[in-house]
Amino acid sequence: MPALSETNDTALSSNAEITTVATNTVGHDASFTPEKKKHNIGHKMLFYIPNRVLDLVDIFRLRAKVGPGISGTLQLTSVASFYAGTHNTVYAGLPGPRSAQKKPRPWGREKQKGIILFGVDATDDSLFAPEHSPSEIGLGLHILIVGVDAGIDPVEIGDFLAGIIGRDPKGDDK
Amino acid sequence: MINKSILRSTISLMLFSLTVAHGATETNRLLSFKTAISKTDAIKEKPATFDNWSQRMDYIHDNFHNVMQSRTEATDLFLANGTETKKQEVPSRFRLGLYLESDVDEGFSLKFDPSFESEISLPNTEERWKLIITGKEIDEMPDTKPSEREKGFSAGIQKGIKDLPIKLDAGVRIRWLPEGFLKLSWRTLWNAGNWSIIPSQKCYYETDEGFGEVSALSTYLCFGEKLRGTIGTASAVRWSEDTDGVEWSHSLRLGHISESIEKDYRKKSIRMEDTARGTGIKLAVYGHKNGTGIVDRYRLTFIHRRPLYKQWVYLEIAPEVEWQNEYDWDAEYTLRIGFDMLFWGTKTR
Repeated sequence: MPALSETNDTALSSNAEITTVATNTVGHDASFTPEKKKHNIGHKMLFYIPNRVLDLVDIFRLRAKVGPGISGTLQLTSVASFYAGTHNTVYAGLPGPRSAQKKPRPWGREKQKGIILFGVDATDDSLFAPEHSPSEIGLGLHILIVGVDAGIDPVEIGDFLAGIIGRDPKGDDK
Repeated sequence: MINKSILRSTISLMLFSLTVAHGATETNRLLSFKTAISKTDAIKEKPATFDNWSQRMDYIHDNFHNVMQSRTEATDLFLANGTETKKQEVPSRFRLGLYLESDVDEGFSLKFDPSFESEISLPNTEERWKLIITGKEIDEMPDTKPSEREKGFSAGIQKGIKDLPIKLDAGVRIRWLPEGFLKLSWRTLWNAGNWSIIPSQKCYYETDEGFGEVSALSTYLCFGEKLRGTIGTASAVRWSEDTDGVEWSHSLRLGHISESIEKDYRKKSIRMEDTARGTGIKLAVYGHKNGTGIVDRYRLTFIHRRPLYKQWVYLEIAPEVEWQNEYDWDAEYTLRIGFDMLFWGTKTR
């Protein structure tokens, strides 16, 4: 794995639970698919409502960003994802689908610089790079000091609906 | 009586199924296809940081074609039922255009128009089909600007008829809402001295607009020193269940090609996008005929193209003025700036 470009900025990060950084948009599978845990019926009942809320929140990404930069992003799944520009921001809002790389937080820091064209990623490695689910569809725009990032994940809709009847196809229930 | 919209939706669904799910009854084939199109071994290792934007551009160019090629090979294998027999001899070609159009009369309002074209070679399924992905519309006439196209792109399969310049396309216009299409087209090129004559005819069915046809005739003459000067005409008529009678267009172009993208362009067609470095001027008139003939608009365009980055990014600048009947022939000025990127799988492109 290439060396990470940032070493001194971690104190600024609210994403302290980062474990790895995806290096390529094409082919990387950032979806959260851990081994399914077996829970007893009591646990399932206790966590039914929180899990449904988390599944519902997983569907949407809607974040406001503040910080210097100019950039645009379009994601029509990871196969057709596009980005161009540079931004270094803090964000707040719905974080989007949970991934294996980063625990979702409604606030944090995001930094990205470079180009992504049809999933070919020529951005600098960053601890604060945004992470999208492979099946996500979304748009983002950052102009000078403010930006917005919105998306929806159809796979997460399926996971949410399946969760209502007690199924967990993504294996992300607590 | 069958509701027309239900019939069209049904045909759209059938075409969509035909396009994307041929032979998709075997789950393992679908899974291996999914794995193949997302495999990373086609990508070179990415540096942690890039020194400059040129390095990023080169990285994109080096890897974009590899990725797309691996995806098309996976598609080829998928369509060929997983029995690989032939390797691709001619690399597939991809072309991405990013155009900004500014309407000077509306306070320099900007419009962004991306376009995507591909020539995808599928040697294992070529006997049966070719894959087509293009931003162009099914009923497009010559001289259509990227900004005049509806949003979305067409994806489908194409079957050529052996030894005849006839093709049958079936696919879907990907947009909100998707629209299915079937197209039968004929296009040929005759060369006589320095003249090229290109007649074409297409008949189509779109689930949204119904049946239609486009007939076109283009002519080109190369002249002057090293035949770098070109003069040409393009005429077309279009009719569909959705048009107001018959729509027509006619254009006259004059150009100077200092450098072409492909050397043997003179034996093909001469379009501005085939030019690496050149300048041209085009006068086009558009109209429709529904009872009496009506001229709808005139458009005068000046086009300049030149290489912008190495031999795969080209800059296109096209100021133009248009006079429309609808606006009492008042002149409207626009400026189009485009970046045309070629991913052809060669060393330079």
